[in-house]
Amino acid sequence: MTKTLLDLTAQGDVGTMTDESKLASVQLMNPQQLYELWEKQNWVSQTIDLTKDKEDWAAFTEEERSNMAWNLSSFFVGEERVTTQFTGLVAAYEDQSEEAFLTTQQVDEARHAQHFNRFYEQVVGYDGTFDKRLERAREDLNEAFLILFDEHLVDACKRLLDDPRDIEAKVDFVTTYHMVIEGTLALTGQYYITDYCEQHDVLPGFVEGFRNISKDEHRHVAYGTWYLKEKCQEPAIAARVQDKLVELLPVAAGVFVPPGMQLGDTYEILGYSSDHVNEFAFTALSRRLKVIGVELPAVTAA
Amino acid sequence: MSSDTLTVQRWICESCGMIYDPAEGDPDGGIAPGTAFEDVPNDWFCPVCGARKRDFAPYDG
Repeated sequence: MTKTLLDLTAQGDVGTMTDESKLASVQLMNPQQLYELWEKQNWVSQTIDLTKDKEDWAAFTEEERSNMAWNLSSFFVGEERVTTQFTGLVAAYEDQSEEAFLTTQQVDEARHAQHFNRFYEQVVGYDGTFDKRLERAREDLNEAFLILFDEHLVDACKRLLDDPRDIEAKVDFVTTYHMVIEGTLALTGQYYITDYCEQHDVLPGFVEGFRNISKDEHRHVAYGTWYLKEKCQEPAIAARVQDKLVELLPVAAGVFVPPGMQLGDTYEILGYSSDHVNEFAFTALSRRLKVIGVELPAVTAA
Repeated sequence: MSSDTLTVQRWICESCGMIYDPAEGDPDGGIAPGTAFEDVPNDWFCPVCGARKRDFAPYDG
């Protein structure tokens, strides 16, 4: 049996090497600073050379192609989901700097989806339109992914569209998207996929784009951390963040589970053990919550 | 660069501005106080935004 993300979060905050965490005093960038950083880190998805990627993909075994497709499809579909489901948060800006930053994030998500669309068309070889490729990629996804992105994320966006001034809805969205989807799941997947490709010297064009995507997402997560740290000064909001995590983490734990496996099974993803992957995701979430100043609640299966 | 310089040199995350101070380390991330950035393992990542060690640059501010 492997320790799932859910098992790890069931123990709550396990403390640190020292009694006093320094993370709560970390100075965070504000939305204006993050917007300015976005201008410096801009990149172009359409000119990345995928020539060697095509050769590498053709040389993969059927099993390697299948494993890689499962890992990448969650990002392809995820980027599209976020692009369309981010409008509510953009509308919920509280000042001009935040509006500017949130608008850049929505543009980033569209560009990420473009990178994956191009890769699936030119390297994986999915014919047809962008929409058709997305439909095919969806076939690779598991139920937990669909619940998180098609239900929880969509609901969170809809509540903000209904009332962009609803701070509780905004806190729920940022917890869902920036903390769980992007900060816990996506950054973990990015770490291992990038590491695999670099270690095996494959898919250089894909990796070039994926590294840029990671940089964008680091900036996004930095915004979410800043926002929740500001709002969680109020104990009721901090409790709300904890409640949302209790609701979502049992679902999120299932997103990492590959086809044919169950939550709790021991497996490998691109050669990395499920224990290692879950521990990475747990550490990322628990440290970030310390920066925000919220205790990780003990989470159990629903 | 002398070992003293290595120990006091601070590093900044280019994605979010988080500063790694060797005097504090990152106990929550398994890095003991007093650890020079050069001795931080390559799989360590920024506690705020998740950026990797290679995304940090020397910081003299």
